[in-house]
Amino acid sequence: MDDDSKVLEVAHLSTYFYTAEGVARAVDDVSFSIRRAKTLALVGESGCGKSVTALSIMRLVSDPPGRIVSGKVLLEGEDLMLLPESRMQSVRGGRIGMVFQEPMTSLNPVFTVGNQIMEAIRVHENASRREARERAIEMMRTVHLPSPEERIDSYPHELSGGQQQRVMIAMALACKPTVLIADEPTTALDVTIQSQILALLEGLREEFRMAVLFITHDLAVVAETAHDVAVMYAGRIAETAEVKALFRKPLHPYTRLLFRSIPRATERRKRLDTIEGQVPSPLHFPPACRFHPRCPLVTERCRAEEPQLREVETGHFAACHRSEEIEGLMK
Amino acid sequence: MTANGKLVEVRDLTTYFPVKKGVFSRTVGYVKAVDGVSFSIERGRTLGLVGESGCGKTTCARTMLRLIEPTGGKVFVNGQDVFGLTPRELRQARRRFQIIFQDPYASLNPRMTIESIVGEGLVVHRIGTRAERRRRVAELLESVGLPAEAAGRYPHEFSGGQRQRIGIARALALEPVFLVCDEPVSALDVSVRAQIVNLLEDLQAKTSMSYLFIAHDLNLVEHISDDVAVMYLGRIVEMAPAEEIYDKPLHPYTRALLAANPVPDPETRRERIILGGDIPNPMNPPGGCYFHPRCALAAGCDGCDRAYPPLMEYSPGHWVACCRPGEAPAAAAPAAALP
Amino acid sequence: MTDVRPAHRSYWGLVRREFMRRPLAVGALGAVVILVLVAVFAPYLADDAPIILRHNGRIYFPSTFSYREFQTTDWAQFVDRLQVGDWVLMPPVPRGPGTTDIAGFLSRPSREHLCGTDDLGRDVLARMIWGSRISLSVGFVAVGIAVLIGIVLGAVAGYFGGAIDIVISRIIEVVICFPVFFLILIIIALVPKMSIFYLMFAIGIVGWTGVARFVRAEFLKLRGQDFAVAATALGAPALRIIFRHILPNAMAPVLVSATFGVAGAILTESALSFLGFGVPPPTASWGSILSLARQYVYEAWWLTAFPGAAIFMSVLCYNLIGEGLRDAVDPRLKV
Repeated sequence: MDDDSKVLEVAHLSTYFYTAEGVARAVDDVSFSIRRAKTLALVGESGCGKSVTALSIMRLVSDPPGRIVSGKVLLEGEDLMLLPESRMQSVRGGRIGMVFQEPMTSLNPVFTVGNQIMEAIRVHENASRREARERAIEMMRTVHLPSPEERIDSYPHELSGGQQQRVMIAMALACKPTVLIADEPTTALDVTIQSQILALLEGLREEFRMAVLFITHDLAVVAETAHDVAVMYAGRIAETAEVKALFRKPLHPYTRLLFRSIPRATERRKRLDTIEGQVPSPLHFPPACRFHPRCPLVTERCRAEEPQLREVETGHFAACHRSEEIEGLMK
Repeated sequence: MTANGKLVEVRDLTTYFPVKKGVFSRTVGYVKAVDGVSFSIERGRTLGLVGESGCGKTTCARTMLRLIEPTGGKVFVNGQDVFGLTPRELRQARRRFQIIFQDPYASLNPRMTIESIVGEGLVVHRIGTRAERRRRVAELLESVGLPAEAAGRYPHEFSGGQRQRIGIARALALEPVFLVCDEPVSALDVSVRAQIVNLLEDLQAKTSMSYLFIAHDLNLVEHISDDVAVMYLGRIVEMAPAEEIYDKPLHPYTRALLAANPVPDPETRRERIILGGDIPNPMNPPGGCYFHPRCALAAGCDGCDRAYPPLMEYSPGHWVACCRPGEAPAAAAPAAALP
Repeated sequence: MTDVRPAHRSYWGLVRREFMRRPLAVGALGAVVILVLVAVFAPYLADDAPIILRHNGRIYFPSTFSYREFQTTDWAQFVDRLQVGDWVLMPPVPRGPGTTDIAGFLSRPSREHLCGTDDLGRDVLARMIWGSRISLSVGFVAVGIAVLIGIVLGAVAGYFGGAIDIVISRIIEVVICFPVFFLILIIIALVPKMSIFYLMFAIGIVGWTGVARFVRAEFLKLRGQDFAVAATALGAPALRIIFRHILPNAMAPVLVSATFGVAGAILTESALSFLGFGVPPPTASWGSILSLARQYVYEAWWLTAFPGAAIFMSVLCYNLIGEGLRDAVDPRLKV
C-alpha cells in the first residue's frame, strides 16, 4: 500500500556564491532523495549549506551573488532546474511548500494572517475571496489554531510564536503540496511548543501524504521525526541512511563525534566529547576530505584524496575512506 | 560566606516592570517577571535554572547581579547584601560576581581589541601596571584555550565558540566566586557546545566558583548542574538535585517539560505528554496556580484555580509548588492534548 | 587552534577598505586633500614676498619669517630691482591677497593674473588661495563645535534616559525649529566686533542638533546591548561606559553627518560673506569675492565664475566623501 517512490530527487546539486573574497562553495555536489509520506532530515551545523540547499531546490537563491552551478532537482520526475520562471512560481507554494525558522520575520506584519493564508491560496488557484477565506479558516483548523473564525483577522504580532508557526504551516500547506520543506521550523520555539509543532507536522504528513524535507541541527529532533537522514558538512553530504541505521552505527567520524558531544541525561556527569577545531568557512574549505583537519582517524590518503559518497552498507552511504573500520576504531 | 555557609542566597526576589499607557504614561499594570524567587547555592556547586520564554530566568539572573533594579527581596553574595550597597560599593563588589552572555556576537565590543575587552575589569579596578595586565590577559586567554596573540585582534575575526571563550576570559579576570551563565551555549553549534561546557566544568574544578547555569536544553542542564530549579511565569515550581528532577519529577509542568524534550535515540518511544495551550501572558497570569489552565491534573483538583500552592519541601532537598505533587495524569485522558 | 581569518582589521580599517572601492569618493577625498594643502601652504603659493631670497650674500625666507630689515619693504618693487648676485624663488602666484594694483583693476584673466583682478586690482587667484583658509577653518571648527555639543548632549540623553532624556529632547526639538540662518544673523548682529571666530562659533552652536539626534538614537540602541551590560557588570562607572564603550560604536553616523556638515558650513559662510555679514574686509573669502562680484556681474565674469566654481567644487567634494562614508560604514560591514 505504501508507495515508497521517490517524490523529490536531488542529484549533484551545486550552488556557489561569488563574493569579493572568493568563491564560497556553499552546496557542492549534493544528492539525496525523499520518499512519499516520509521525512528526510537534513542535519548539519551552521555554515554546512543545508539552508542554501533548500533555497536551491526552490530556486530562491539570490543571483548575484549566488548561482546554482549544476545539478538536477526532480519533482515527481520533472526537473525543476529546467523550468521557466513562470512555471517555477506555480511550483513554489503549489507543489512545494516551505516553512521557515523565524515566523515573526517570515510573516508580513502589515497584513492579517487570514490575508496571508488566502493569498497563498489565490495565487495558485482560481478561488473567489469567499472560497479562499473559508479554505483559510479550514486550514487554520487543520493546524489546530484556536477559534479560527476570529483569529483569521488577527495580525502576526497578536499571536504567540507557536501560533505564528502554525500560521506559516497553514500557508505552506494551503494548496496541498506534494513536498514540504521545513527549515528549522522549531529552533526558535520553546520545547513544549516544539513538541506540539512536531506532532502537528507528523500528523499532517500522514494526512496529506507529503514528503517532508526537515532541516535542523538538533539530533534529538531528528531521532524523533525522521525516517531518513542526510548529514551535511562543509557543503557536502557526509553520510546518509535510514534513521535507525544511522544512530545505531554511524559510519562517518563527524557523525560519530556529533553524537558523542550531545549531553544525554542518562549518562550523567561524564565529560562531553568534543570535536577539535571549528567549522571551516565556505571560502576556505580544506582540500581533499573537508573534515580531515578535525578527524581523529585522519590518514595521508584523507589529506590527498577526497572521499566520494559511497554505499558502505545496504542503503547506508558515507563519504569516508575508513568507514569499514570505523566501528573498531571509534566507540 | 553567609551565616549558614552558602555562597549565594536569594530571598523572595521580585522584579516587576511597570506598563505605562496614555499621554501621561500612567502605570496601568505590571509585568511580574520575577515573582518571589528564593534559592541558595553553595560554594563550588552549580544551580541550573530552566524554563521557557517568559518564565523570568534571565531577568532573575540579571536582577541578582543588580544589572536590573529589583523591586523587592534580598540577594547575598559572599556575605554581602547586594541590594544594600551604595553605587560605589557595588562597583567594587562586582569583582566577586560576574556574568557570561548568550549571544557571542553582541557581548563583545566590536571596536575594542581582545586585549582591551579581557583587561577591562583590571583597568576599571586599577589592578596592576600595564605590563602586568598584559601578562594577566595572556594568561587568561591561555586558560580558556586561546593563543596569547589573540589579544591584538578584533572580535569579528573569531568564531562564535571563540568569542564565548573570550567572554569567559573577561569574566574570570577579576577572579569571581560566583558566575552567572546565561544560556552560554544556546547560540553555538552543537560540536562547539561541548568544548565550552567542558571548559566551564574545568574552571569550576580549578577555582571552586559557583555557577548559576541558565539554559532551556534540559539534557545539558542535567549534565552540568548539581541542583536544578524549574521556573514558570516568574516563580519556581520545582527545585531538587539534578538526578531527582529527571528521575522523579513532581510538578506537572516539569513532567511536561521532560516529556517534551526530544531524546536522541530513534529506538525509544518515550511517553508523549504533549502540553497544550500557550505560555500565558506575564502581565495577566491566571488566578490561583499559574499552571492550572494547562495542567492535566487540574480537572480533578479542588483549589488549583483559587490559591497558588506554596513551595514546600516534599522530600529532603526536593521542593515543589503543587497541591498534588508526583501524581501522573489519568492514562486515558490526554487532557493536555492539542487544543 | 585559532582559525586565522582576515588578519587584524579594525573596524575603521574595514571602513577604509570599503571606502577605497568607490572611485568617486576617493577622487573627492584627493581633491579635498589638495585643497587642505593649498590652504596650509597659502603663503608659499600666493604672496608677493619670495619664498627664498638671496641678497647681499645672505639667505632669507621672507614668506616664513619676518625680518627687521625688510619690515617696510614693498616686495613688488624690491623684486623688480634686484641686484646682480641676488637670487629669488617666488611663489607660483607672485601676488598677495592684499596686493593692490589700482592701474590694473578689473582686468580679465591673463597670463599675469590667471583669474583676473578685482576692483582694487587684487589678484583673484591669490585671494581665492587665501580664501580657502577661511572656508576650511570655518568649516572644520564650526563642525567641530557642533559635533562636540551634539555628542555630549546626545550621549547623555540616550544613555540615562528618563527625565534627562525628556529635557534634552525638548531642547533639541526647539533648537531644530529655529531658522538657523537668521539665528546666525542675530548672533552676528549682537557681536561687538565681527571676527572669524564669532562666525565659527555661531555656525557651530546652531548646527549640533542633527548629531545629537543620531548619537541619542545610537545610544538608545547600544546601551541595552550585551557588551554594554558587560561593562556595567565589570564595575565600570557610567562615564567610562559612555565614552570608552558605547561612543566608539556610535561614531559612524556622526562622521557622515560631520562631513556633510562641513559642506553646509562652507555654504553658510559663503552666503554670509556674500551678504556682507561674514568675515570683515580686507580678509579674502570666497563669499566676499562673490559679494563684490554682484556689482560687476556682466563686466567681470571672472569675479563670479572662479569663486563660485571653487565653492561648488569643494561642497561637491565634501558631499561625495560623505556619501562614500555613508556607504562604507555599517550595516554593510560584516562585523
